[in-house]
Amino acid sequence: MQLDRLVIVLRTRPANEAIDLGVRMAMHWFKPLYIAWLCFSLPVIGLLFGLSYWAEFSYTAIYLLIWWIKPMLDRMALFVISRAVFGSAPTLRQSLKAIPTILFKTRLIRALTWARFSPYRSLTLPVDVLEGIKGRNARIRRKAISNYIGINAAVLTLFGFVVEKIFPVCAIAFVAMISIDNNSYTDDLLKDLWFNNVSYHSLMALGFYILGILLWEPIYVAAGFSLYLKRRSDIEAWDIELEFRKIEKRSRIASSTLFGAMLLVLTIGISGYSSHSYASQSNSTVRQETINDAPEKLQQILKQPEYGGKEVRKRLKFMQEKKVKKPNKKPDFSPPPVSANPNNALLALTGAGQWMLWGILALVVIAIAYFIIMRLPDMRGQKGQKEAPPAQIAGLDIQPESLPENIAEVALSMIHSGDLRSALSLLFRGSLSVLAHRDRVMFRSSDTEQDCIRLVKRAELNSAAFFIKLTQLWLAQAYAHRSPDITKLEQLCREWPTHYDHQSQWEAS
Amino acid sequence: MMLDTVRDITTPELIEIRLHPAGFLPRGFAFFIDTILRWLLMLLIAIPSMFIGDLGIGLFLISIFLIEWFYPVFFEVVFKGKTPGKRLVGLKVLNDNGTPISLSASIIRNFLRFADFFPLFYLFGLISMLTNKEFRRLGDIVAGTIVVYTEPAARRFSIPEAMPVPPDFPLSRDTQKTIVSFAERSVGLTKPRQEAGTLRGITSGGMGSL
Repeated sequence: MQLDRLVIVLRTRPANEAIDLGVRMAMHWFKPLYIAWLCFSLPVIGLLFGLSYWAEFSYTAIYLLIWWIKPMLDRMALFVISRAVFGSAPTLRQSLKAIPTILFKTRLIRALTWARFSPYRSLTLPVDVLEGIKGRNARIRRKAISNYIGINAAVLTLFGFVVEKIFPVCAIAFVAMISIDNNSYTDDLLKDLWFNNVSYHSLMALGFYILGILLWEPIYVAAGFSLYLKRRSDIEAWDIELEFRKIEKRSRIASSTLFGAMLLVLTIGISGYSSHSYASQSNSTVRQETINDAPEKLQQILKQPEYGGKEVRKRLKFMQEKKVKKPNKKPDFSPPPVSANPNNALLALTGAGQWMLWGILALVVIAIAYFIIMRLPDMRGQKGQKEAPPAQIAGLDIQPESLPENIAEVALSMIHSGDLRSALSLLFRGSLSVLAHRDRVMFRSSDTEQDCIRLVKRAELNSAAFFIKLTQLWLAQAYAHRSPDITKLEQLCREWPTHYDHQSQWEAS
Repeated sequence: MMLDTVRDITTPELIEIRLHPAGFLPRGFAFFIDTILRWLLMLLIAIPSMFIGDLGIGLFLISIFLIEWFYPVFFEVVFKGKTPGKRLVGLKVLNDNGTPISLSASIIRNFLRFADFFPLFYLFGLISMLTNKEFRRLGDIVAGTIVVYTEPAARRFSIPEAMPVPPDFPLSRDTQKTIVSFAERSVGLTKPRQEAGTLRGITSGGMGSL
């Protein structure tokens, strides 16, 4: 057992953490572990399945057979993971070479008969496989290993049992979820399972069971092995031994007499270890050592990621670029040879390509500029034309279609019949309509009367004064119910056509 | 690289904290206990609500909803990351920077149970826990939380009685620790190992060999 080659951190960890570490181990050496495991167990399972299919076993019998053979398969997983933990993960060839040993020298018969039901299976497996002891000694050893942590191993086994039973159910549920007509499918499946038939559906359930075993069992073995390591580390103080070895190594470098006192300290036992003042003569040598080592240590610390140490970044790069850059890295800074370079043609090509790209970029820029300068005003014009006058302003309908053709006359007749309000409304609407459609005053439908006045003023039309007068009269009428004189209104009616030729807007629109 | 299952955190004050993430086994066990407790709670509500008729059924359904979704959130936020099951097993939930879990993180990690449960019986959650380096399920990854072992109460070791002998050279901090832990654990070690350890101390120091 070469402890200094161990790749896991040795510390006193609770049993549950040991199991977790086992999971980490299985995932860390995922590739060698699962490749070797699959290469061994798939043929075995295939063989078993073929035989039992040929012998027309029932579904349950096949199921049981595959369950029974698991300890044999576990040995391969343990072989890989135990080697990997001690720093040399075996290659596939090495693993396959170990098959005879696994089959004949690891007390397989015991494991496949009365020890098959042991709940400590994963924990005692390393004793059988790795320690190579027999008979009574092995029994004592197994007992010693499973002494305090047997319960954890048993819980692990129980959990594995539940996982293996549940995994096919989950997988089938998943398939049923994504299949189109899941009802008939699950019905068939349940029927087959119920009547213990070997059929397409139950074969699938069996397949999922095997898949679950194939995925889970290496993790189970690794967790058990980790538990075993924890137990041995506890009773044999591996971590402390490792520390002693480190101290020893350091002491040999520093001074051979330094650890003379270790003898006393360790044989007698220790209590007051810290409260003594140190002798000064050896203190100074250690101090000197520390000072001498300081630059190296500083470099090591600076390399840590917290101090922005070495950082590896990956990016895509033209192969050409790499080739050109390489000569630059040489200590002599002579320019790279221009002629007689077989890559020259390629260089020229890439250069041309680069120029072409620049040309395309320039063309694109010019095209955009042309578009902005030449086309944009047109676009804006179109946009302006498209912007139709609103259908109504301040709640008044100003569409030309909704107005009579001779507004002034209609208004006059309304005045004569006494409906002053309607007459004023009609005149106001008519003026707005003409202003919007003929004079293209940009009214919005949310404009108030005052907004209209402002817009008309801004448009600097001749009719502005008349419009303002009309609007004020309309406002007084609409909101204050103050009617103007009839004579004033009649005059307004007569004046109206001079400003707003209603006919012209029909032609305009 | 040395394999271990811890997560080291350095706070802005340069204090090192070591978290011990918990794997599927204790977490599954804690969940199992919590499930039983939840069902008991539902039963407690179901019995009286049976006598109130339709109103009772309505109340019962609402309480099922609340218990199913907010039981873990409530306990995690109010009792510092410990649901009753986790407390029994010795686990707690933290944010992954070591701070106590926040309400939003707790809500996220518990509402995403649904994703972990998929397709049935927490299969995806289990796969996620097995493959993640810190044994997080999907909800933990999204919420940025981590389930850790609570600090075990320090066990009292008895150091064998002996005459203190001052060493004639300074022992570094690590060396002191090693010697103390050897003395503490020497009682539990096997006989040959006790002697071997002592011997190693002698040989490594005195002879300078081995």
